Amino acid sequence: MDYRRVLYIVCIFIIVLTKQNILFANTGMPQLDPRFWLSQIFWLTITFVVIYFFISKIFSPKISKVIQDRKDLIEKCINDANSIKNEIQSLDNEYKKIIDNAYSEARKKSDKLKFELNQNLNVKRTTLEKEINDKVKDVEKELIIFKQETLKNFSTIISDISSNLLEKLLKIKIEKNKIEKSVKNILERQKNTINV
Amino acid sequence: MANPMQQFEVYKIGPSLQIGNIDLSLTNSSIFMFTSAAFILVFFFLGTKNVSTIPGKLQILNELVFNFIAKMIDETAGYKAKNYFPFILTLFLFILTMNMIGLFPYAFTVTSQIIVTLSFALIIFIGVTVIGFAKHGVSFLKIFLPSGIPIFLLPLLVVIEVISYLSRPVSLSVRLFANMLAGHTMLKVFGGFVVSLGIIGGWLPFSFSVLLTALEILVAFLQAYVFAVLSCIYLNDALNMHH
Repeated sequence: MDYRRVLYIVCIFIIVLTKQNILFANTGMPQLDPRFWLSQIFWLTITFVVIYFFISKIFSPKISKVIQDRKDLIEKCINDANSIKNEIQSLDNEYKKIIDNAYSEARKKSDKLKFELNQNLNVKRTTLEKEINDKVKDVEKELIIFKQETLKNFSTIISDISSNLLEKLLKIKIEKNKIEKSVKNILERQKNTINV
Repeated sequence: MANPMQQFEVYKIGPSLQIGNIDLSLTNSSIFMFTSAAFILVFFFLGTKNVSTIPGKLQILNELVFNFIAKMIDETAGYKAKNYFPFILTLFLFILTMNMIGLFPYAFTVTSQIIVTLSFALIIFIGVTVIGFAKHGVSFLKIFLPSGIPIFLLPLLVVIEVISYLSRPVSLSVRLFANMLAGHTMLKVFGGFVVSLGIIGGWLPFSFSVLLTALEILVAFLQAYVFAVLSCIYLNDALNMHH
C-alpha cells in the first residue's frame, strides 16, 4: 500500500514538474523546454557508450597493465636489491670469517713461536747457568786451595812480621824458631777456641 | 544587455534527423558532447600511444586520472566496485570535460542542461537499484530498514528512507545542473556589466569576472568529483549494504 502511495505521489510530482517546466521554459529557462530532450538523451547515450567502450576496452587495460608492469618491475628491483644485499652480507660474513681465521692462525703461529723461543731461551739459560755454576765452583776450588796455601804460610809470614816488628821497635832479636813456635801455639789456641 | 539565459538555449545544427515522431537532430548540445568525447579520447590516445614503464608527460597525466579514480572507488565503495571502474572513470571524465569546455567563451555547457544531468543521475539510480537487487535479491529492501531503531519509529523511518532513496537522482542531477547554471549565469551577467560600463568602469566587473572564472574552474572540477563520489557511495550501498 505504502509503495503504491509513494508511486502516486511521485507520478503527481512528475506531472506537476512537467507542467511547470513548460511554464518555466516559456518564461526564460531554455533547459526546461522539452523539444530537444530526447535528442540530447540519445546523443548523450551514444557519446557516453563510445567513451565507455574505448576506456574499458582499450585505454583502461593499457594503463592498468603499464601500472602493474611498473609495480612488478619495482618489486623485482627491490627483490634483486635484497638478494644482492644478502649476497653482500654473506660475502661480508665470509670475509669476516677469513679474517678471523687468519687472525687465529697468526695468533697460533705467534704463540708457537713464542713457546719455541721460550724453550730455546730456557735451554740456553740452563746451559749458561750450568757453565756459570761450573766456573763458580772452579773459582771456589781455586780460592780454597789458595786459602789453604795462604793458611799454610800464614805462621811463617806472621813470625817474619813479628820478628821484624820486635827488632825495629824494641831492638830485640829473638830467634825465628821461637817466634814461629809461639805463633803456632797462638794459632792453635785460636783454632781450638773457634772449634769449641 | 543580452539575456543571461540565452547561452543555455539548445538549437538545431545541420540537417534534421527524425525517427518516427522523435526528433534526434544534432544540436549545439550534442556537438559539445562530441567535442568532450573527442577531447577525452585524444587525451587517452596520445597518453597511451607509447606506453612505457618510465612514462612521458601525457602518460603521467593519464595515470594520474586513472589512479585518482581508482583510489576514490577503493575508498568509497571498496574492492567489490572494481568492476565498475571504467564506468565511474568515464562518468567523471565526461562530466569534468563538459564542465571545463563550457567555461570557454562562446562554448556551450552541456551539464547546464537538466535533462543531461538527470539522465546521468537516472542511469546511476536505476543501475544501482538493479545491481542491489541482483546481488542481494529481495533482501536489498533492507536498505530501507535502519538497524537499532525502536519498532514504533520504524514505519516513519522507512517512509523517510524510501523518500530519501527516491530523491537521490533529483538531488544528484539538480546539484550539478544548478551549479553550472548559476556559475555561467553569473559570468554572463558580469560580462554584460563589463560591456555596458565600458573602459571607464568596466575593470571592476572584469576583475570579478576573472575571479569568478577561477572559482568556476574549481566548481567544474568539484562538481564532477562530487558526482563521481556520490555515484560510488550509492554503488557501495548496493554492493555492501552498510546501513
